[in-house]
Amino acid sequence: MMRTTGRRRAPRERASVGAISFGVAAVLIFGGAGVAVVLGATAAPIVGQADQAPSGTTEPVATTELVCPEPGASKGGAVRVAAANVAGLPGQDRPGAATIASIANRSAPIAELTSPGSTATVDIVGESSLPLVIAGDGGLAPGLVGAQVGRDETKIGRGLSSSACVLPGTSWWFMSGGAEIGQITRVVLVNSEPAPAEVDVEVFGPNGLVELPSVRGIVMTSRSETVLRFDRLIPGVAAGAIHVIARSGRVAVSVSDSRSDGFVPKGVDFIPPASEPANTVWVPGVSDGGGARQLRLLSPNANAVVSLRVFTASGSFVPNGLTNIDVPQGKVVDVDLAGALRGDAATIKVESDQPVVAGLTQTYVLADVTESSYTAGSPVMTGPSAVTGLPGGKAVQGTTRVIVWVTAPEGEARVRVTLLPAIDGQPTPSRAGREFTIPSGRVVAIELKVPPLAEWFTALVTPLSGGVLVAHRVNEISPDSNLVTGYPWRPLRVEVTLPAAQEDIAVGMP
Amino acid sequence: MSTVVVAHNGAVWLPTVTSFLAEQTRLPDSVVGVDTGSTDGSAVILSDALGAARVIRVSADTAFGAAVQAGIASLPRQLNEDVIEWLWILHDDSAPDSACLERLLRDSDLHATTAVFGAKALGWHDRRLLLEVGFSVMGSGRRVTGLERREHDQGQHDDRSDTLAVGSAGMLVRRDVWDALGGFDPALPLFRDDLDFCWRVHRAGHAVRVVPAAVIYHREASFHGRRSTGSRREGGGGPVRRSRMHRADRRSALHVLLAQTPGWRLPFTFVRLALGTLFRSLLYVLGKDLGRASDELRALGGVITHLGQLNASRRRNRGLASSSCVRWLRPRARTRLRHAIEAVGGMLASGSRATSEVDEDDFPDDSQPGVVRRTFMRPSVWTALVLLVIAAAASRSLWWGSGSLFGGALLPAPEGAGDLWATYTQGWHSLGPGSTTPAPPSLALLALFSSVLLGKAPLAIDLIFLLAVPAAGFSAFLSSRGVVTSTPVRVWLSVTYALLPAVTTALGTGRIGTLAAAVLLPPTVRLLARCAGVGTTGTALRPATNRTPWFTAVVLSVLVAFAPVLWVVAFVFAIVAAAIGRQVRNLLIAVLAPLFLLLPWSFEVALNPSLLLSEPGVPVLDGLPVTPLRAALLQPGGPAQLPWWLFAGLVLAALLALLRHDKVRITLALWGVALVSLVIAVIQTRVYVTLPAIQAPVPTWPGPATLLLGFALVCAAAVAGDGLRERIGGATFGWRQPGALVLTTLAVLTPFAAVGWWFAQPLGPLHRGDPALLPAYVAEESRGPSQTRTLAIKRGSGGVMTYTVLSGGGLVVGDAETAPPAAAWMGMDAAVSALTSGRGGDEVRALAAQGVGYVLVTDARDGDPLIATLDSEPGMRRLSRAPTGALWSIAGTTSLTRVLSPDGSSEPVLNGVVPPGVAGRVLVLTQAPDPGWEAAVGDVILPVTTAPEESLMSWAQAFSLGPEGATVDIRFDDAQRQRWLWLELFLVVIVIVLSLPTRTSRDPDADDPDQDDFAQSGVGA
Repeated sequence: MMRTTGRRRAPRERASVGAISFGVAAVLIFGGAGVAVVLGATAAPIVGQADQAPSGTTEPVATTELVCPEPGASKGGAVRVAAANVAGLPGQDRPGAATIASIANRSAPIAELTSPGSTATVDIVGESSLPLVIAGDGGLAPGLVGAQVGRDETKIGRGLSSSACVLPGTSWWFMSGGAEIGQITRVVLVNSEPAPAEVDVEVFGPNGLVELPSVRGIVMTSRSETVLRFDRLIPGVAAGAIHVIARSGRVAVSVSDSRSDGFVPKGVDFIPPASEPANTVWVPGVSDGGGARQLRLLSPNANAVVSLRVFTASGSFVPNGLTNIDVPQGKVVDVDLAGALRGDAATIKVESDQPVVAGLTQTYVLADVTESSYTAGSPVMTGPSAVTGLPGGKAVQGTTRVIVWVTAPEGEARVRVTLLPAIDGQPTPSRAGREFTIPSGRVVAIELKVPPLAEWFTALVTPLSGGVLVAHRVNEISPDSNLVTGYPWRPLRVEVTLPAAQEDIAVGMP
Repeated sequence: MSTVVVAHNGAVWLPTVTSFLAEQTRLPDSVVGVDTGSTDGSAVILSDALGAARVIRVSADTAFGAAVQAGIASLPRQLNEDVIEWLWILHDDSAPDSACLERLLRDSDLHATTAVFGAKALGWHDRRLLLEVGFSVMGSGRRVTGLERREHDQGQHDDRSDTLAVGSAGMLVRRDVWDALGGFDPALPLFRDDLDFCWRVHRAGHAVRVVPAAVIYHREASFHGRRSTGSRREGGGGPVRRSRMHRADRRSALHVLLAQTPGWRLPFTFVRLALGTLFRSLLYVLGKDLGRASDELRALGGVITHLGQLNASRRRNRGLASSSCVRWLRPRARTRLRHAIEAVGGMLASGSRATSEVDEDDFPDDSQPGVVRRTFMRPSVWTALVLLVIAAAASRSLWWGSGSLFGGALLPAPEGAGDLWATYTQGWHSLGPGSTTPAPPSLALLALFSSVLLGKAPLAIDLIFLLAVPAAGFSAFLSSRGVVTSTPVRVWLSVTYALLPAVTTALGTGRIGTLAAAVLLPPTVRLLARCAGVGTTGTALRPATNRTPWFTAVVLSVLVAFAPVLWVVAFVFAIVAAAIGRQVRNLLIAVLAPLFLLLPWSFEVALNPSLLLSEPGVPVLDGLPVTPLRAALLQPGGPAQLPWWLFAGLVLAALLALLRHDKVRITLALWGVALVSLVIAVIQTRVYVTLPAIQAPVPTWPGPATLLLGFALVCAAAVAGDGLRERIGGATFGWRQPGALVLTTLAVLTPFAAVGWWFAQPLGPLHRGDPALLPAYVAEESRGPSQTRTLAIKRGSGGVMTYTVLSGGGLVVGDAETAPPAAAWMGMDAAVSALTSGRGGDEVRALAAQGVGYVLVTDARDGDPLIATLDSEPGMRRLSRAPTGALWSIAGTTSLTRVLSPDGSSEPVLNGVVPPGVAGRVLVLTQAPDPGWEAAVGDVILPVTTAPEESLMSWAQAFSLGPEGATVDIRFDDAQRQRWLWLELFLVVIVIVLSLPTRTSRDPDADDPDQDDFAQSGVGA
C-alpha cells in the first residue's frame, strides 16, 4: 500500500518542482521583459552627441536681380525704368550697391542706387533699347523693386503701360493676348545670364496647343533677347495663352499687347505673368467701371471643371451660371464677367479640380476712346510688397488717380500702406503710412494721394496680420484720353528662410 | 645464385622470412645472413635457420648497402666468368612467396639486357594490399608507386615491366653489375638507396624490370617506425622518432636527385628543390605539423652541410650515361599535377574527419552510392529548398529585369571585387570632403565573397539576398543537431527562424548585415555553447577541443563584422558563463579574439561605441523606432507594419517551454540570451546615435537583436516541443494535453502566418534597377581630370534639406560606412542651407570652391518651390528636368585641385599640371585636411599651409607653391592603414591556423592491424 502511494507521489513531486521552477522563471522573465519594455517605452530618447541642426532661420537676401525686358517697346512714347529700394527692412545695415545696367554691358551701370531707400531712373524716349537689369547686393538687395512704365500719347500705340521688373525664372505663364486683326502681342524673352539658355514656348489657343516647331528649343546666347509676335505665330487666333519654359538656364519674359482698329488705338499694356497652375487661383485687381472683363482659363494637364467666386467690397458671391465651367485640357476658355461684376472692383477666386492658370483682360471705354489693362493669377502675400514708378508731381495732380485694391481672402487682415516719393534719387524720409483693416473676404479700395513734390513714387503695402492680395490701377484722365494701367503685386524680396541642412547619404541612393 | 638476408632487430618477422625462404620452389645456391648489431636475438634466429657459419655480424651503424656488401664479400668468388651470377637481396621483414625466386630467375632468362629485377610487394598482414609494383620519383623527391592508397591487388598492375626502380626487398641483381657500380651508395644509409642504385643501373645501360608474378610480402618496418632502429642504420640505440625517419627520407631523396642531375642543371635543380622545401615547410606550418616542417628544412640543411658526400656520389656516377635516359620512366605531367595537389592537401590536413572542427554529422556522407538522391532526401536540404522557393517568390520583383539591386540600406554594388578591395584597403575615402574612416571588415568579407565569384560583386550581392533565407534555415537546421532530436521539430525550428520578421524585413530593406547574421547566428550560438561547455550533458553537443575557441572566434568575427551589436550579447554570455565557472579560457579566446581579428575597425568601434549599434549600409529610418513592446514581439520595425500578434504565439510557446522541467536548464539559458537581446533591442529603440553616413542622430535598427531574441525563443520552444508527444501522451489526461495541442497549433501556424504576411505586404524599398543617379556626362566628368563633384539635395521631413556630395559617378557599397564624420560637413551645411533658401549670396561660389560642379535635386516634384528657388539662384543653370531629378550646373570651371593666387584669382589644376605664376601661390586640394596628404614636385615635398579665408573653402588641404610651373603629384599616404591591414591579415592567418584541424603526424600505415604478430594473421600459418 505504501509502495503504491510512493509511486503516485513521485510524479506529483516532480510536477510541483516543475511548477515552482516555472513560476520562478516566469516571474523573472515576465518581470525582466516587463521592466525592460516599460522602461524602454517611458524613457525619453537618448540623443547622440551631435547637436541638432538649427531649425529654419530667416536671413536677408544677399542679392536681388530684376530684369526689365522691354524698356523701348513703344517707339513713339517714353519709357521710364524706375528702381527703388524700400528702406527700413532687415539686412540693410550691410554694405551694398545697386545698379541699373544694360544686359549687354553689365559692368557699365547707367544709374546707381547708393543707399537703402534711394531711387534711380532711366528714361528712354522714342527709341528701342536693350533690356535693363536692376541688380542689388548686400544692404541694397532686400527691398529692391523696379518697374517699367510706358506712356505713348501719339500714335496707334497710344496708352499707358507698366509692368514690374521681374526675377528671371524657368517657367512663365501669360494668360492674355491674341492675334486678331489689329492686335499685336509681343513676347520678349531675355537671357540676362552669362550662360546660354534653351527655351521652349508653348502657345495655346481655343482649339488647344498650337504646334509651333519654330518656337521649340530656342537657343538664347548669353545676355540676349528674343522677340516673338502672336500675329506671326498664330495669326487670326483671338484668345491666346503662352507658356515659356527654360529647359536650361533661366530667362525673364515680358509680354505686351496693343490693339487698334485701323488707325484708332484701342489700348496698350503689359500682360503680367500668371502664377503657376494651381487648384485655387486668385485674380486680384479687377477694375470697377464699365468695359469688358474677360477671364481666361487654361488647364494644361487635364480636363478641368472650374467654379468662380467673386469678392467685392461688399462681400463675395458666386456669379450666376459661372459654376462648373468646363475647361478642356490645353484649350483656352474665355469667360465674360462683365455682367456678373456689375461695375464693381473685384477679386476673382478660381477653384478647379485640376491645376489651372488664369488671367483677365479688361478694357475701359470713355467716350470713343478704348484703353486696356491686364491682371492675372497672383499669390496671397503675408510679407511686404511694393510697386514703384507710380506717377507723381504737380503735373499729374488732379488728372491721375492711383488706386490700390487690397483683398483679404482668408480672414481679416490689417495692412499698412506707405508712400515713398522719389526726390532726386535721395533716400526719402520715412513716413509712418496709414493702416487699414480689410474685413475677411472683402476688397478694400485705397486711393493713394499722389505726392506733389516727387516725379514718381513707390507704394509699399505691409501686411501686419493676415494674408492679402494687392493690385493697383493708375488712371490718367484728360479731356481727350483715358489712359489706364495696373497689375497685381508680387512679394518684395526681403528675407528668405534658411532651411536646416543635414548630410544624409540616403540622398545619393539612385 | 646467392641470397643475402640483412637483419636488424627483426626478430618479430625473421622466423617467417627464413621459413618462406626455405619453401622456395627454386632454392638459392647459397644464402648468407648479415646481422647488423641486433639486440633482440635476430642473429640467433639467423644462425638457427642458416647455420652459424653463414651469418656475418657487423656493427650496428653499418649502412644497408654496406651490410649487403659485407654479405657478398663472404660469398665465394665467381668461378666461371661466362655464367651470370645473380644476387637476391632480402630484408628481415620481407617474406618471398614460394615461387618468387623461380619467377624472377625465369624472367632473367628472358630479358638479357635487364640487370635488376624486382618483385611485387604486398602487405604483410593484409596480403591483398598492394605496396609497390616498381616505382618512380617526382622532381620533388616524392616516391611515385602509381597505386591508390589501400589499393588491393587484383592483377590490375600485372602488366608492368620496365620501371625506374624496384625496392631492395626481393631485388635480384646481376652480380657483375653490382660490383661494377659499387653496390648501394654509402651516402644513403637507409632510404632511397634502391632508387639511386636502379637509376645508376639505367645509366650504365641496363634495364630494370618489375616481375609482378613474383610476390614478396613486406612489412616496411623501418619506414613505418615499427622497428626499434638506432644510429644511422637499422641498428641499436633504442627507438627513433618517426620524424627522424621522415627527415632521413627527405634528405636521401634530395641527395639522390642532386646526385643524378647532370652537372649543368645542378644549380637549377638545387634552387628548385630548395624552394620546394620551403613551400612544403610552409604548408606543414599551416597544417600545424612543426616537426615535419623542421624536418624538411633540416633535410635540406643536411644535404648542404654534407656536400662532400654529394660530390662522392656524383663522382661515382661519372662515366655513366645521362640521367635523362630514364625520362620515359619518370611520371608524366598529369600525374605530377595530381600528386602535387594531393601532397598539398595531405600536408594541410590529415583528412581524418574525427579531428575536424565541424561536427561530422552535419554533412552527408558522400562516399555512399546515390549521393544526389540521398542529398535531396535530407530534411535539411528540402527545408532549405522550400525556403528558397518561398523567398524567391516573395521577392520575385528583385529577380527580373536588368540593373543591380539597391534601395533601403543597400547601395548598388560596384562592378568588381577589386573596387570593394580598394575601398577596404585604401586609407582615404573620397565621399564628400573625404574621410579616413576605416572601412568595416564586412566590406572585406563581401570583397572576398565577390572574389570567390570571379570578381562579380553584383552577383555576390544578388546571391546573398536570394539565398539568405534558405541558408538561414539550413544553418539553423544543422545547428540544432543533437539539441533537438525530432526531425519535424527541427524543420519547424529552421523554417520559423528563417521567416522571423528580422530576416524578411532585412531582405526587403536591403540590410545585408542582418541577412548575413541570420545565416551565421545558429552555428555561432552552437559553437559558443560548446566553448562554454553548455549542453554537453543532456544534448549531443561535443565538448570543446583546443581548437574550438579559435574556430568560434573566427565565426564570431564574421558574425560581428556584419552585426556588431551581437558581440555585446556574446560578451555578456561569456561573462555570465565564466562567472559560474565555465571554461574561462575558451570563452575569453572566443569572445576577445574577434576584437583582434577585426582590427583596425574594432579600435575605431572602441573610440566610437555607437558604431556597435550600427550595421553595414545606409541608415534607413523607415518605420523606426519601434515601440519596445513590438521589439519584444520580435518585430524590428520596417516599412510594413506587421500585426503585433503575428509572432505572439511563438513567444507564448517559448515561455511555456519552461514547463518542461526536464529541459528547464537549457530553456532557462536560452531565455537568458533572449532577455539580453531584448534589453539591447529596447536600448536600440531609445538611443539615438550619430553615424558617419548621416548627420542627424538616428535610432538604430534592432534587427540583429530581435533576430537573436527570436532564435533563442524558437530554440526554447523547439527544445520543449522535442519529444513532447511521447512525454505527455503517456501521462493521464488532464489540462496538459489540450494545452499542448493548442500551443503546438499556435507554434506551427506561426511560420505559415509569417509567409502569408510576407506575400501580402510590399517587399520594401529594395529593388532592381539602373543604379545610375547621375547622367552619364556628369559621371564621366567626375571621373575625369577635374573630378567634379555633384551636390545632391532632397527635401527631408520637417523642412530640413538633406544632401550629400557625390564624386566618381555615384555611391556604391562601402561608401556609407566610410562616410566622413558629421563635423566634416559643417561648412557644406551652411552652403546648402543658403542655396536652398534662395538668398542669392556667395553660396554658389562657395560650392564651386568645393569642387561642386553640379547640383541635383532628387525626387523633384512639380511645383516644389525648391526648384524655383534654385532656378532663380544666380550662377546656377538648369540643365535638365526629369521625373527622377532636376540638374543644374554651376557657372565657372570647377576642379578638385586649384591654384589660388595672392590676388584671389584661382585656376583649376588638371592632371597635376601647374602653370607658372606669381610667388605666394597656394595649391589647394578640396578635401578635408589630413596629415596624410602629400604634394610633391619631383622629389621636393611641398610645405603644408592653410587656404585663405576668402577662398570660401571649408574643405581644403593647402600647400605652398612657388612661382614656377610644375607637375605636382598629390597623394594620400595610407601606409598606416596598410600596416594595420597587414597586422589584421597576420592575426587572421594565425587564428585560422589555430582553428584548423591538426595534421596527424602519423603516416597512414595501411598494413597495420594494431598487432604485430604475423603468425596470428595467417601468412605464416
